[in-house]
Amino acid sequence: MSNHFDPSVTDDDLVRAVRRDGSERAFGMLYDRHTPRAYQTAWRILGGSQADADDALQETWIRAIDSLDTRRADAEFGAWLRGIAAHVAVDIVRRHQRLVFDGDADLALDDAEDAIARLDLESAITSLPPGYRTVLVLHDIEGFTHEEIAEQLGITAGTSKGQLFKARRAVRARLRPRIEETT
Amino acid sequence: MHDDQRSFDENEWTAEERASLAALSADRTPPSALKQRTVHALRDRGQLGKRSRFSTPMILGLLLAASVVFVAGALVGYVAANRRPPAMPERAVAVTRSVAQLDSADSAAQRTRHVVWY
Repeated sequence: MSNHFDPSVTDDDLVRAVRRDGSERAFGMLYDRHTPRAYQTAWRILGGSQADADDALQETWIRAIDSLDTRRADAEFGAWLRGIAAHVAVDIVRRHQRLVFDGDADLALDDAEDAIARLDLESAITSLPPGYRTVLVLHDIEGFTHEEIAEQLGITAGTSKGQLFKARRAVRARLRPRIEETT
Repeated sequence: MHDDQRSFDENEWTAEERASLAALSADRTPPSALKQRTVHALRDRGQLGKRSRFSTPMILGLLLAASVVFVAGALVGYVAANRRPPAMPERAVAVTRSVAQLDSADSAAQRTRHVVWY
């Protein structure tokens, strides 16, 4: 089996080479193609912590290579990998015991609002409390449904909707001073 | 309930906000050292790099199968070595003896011929 791959080689061919031969070259190509998006997903869920995002990405690839055999044949590799990255990032947030879905974190936001008045959208999202941020990133950016989010986070779909409602409100609150300033 | 629903609807992103969300960068470049770190982690776990065509469970299975074949062969050989030959019927014994006698006479004649020839 040749270790050289044409740049136009498909993800499925690369996956086969990794599964069959443990090909590092094939892995390197998959890594280069799909890591930036998966890394962004993890980075956002983890509130912009680079150290956590690095750990999440490594764990994501380990889990992905481990479960290549169980990947659905029709699943697009990049989307599948981002799903794992989101899952791993949520696990890390949960491990740090920062993932709380009870109560209303808006009160804490209101207190902090002056200090973080001028934020762009990316910063507004990463500065959200973990519970809000996770649901908002998964739903509004990654396109997961409330049912999928509920399953992944171990909450109800209703809780997911409630968290999203509050997350959007919190993002607007963070962006408002900037919007008013520009108008 | 109705007010709640309206409240949720009003909470939907406006077209402008949706455009801002869509414009967020989809990619983020990780530190370059992370690739090597990940490759090393995968190599340490045996998920990347030179890989034997046979996995550990497969090798154990082959060893077990070879052991079973060896033990079975040894048992068959042992049983075969200790088996007593079946008793021959009297008629067969008589025929065998007469053939043996004929062979013996024949070989004696051959020996005689041999002597004459020399």
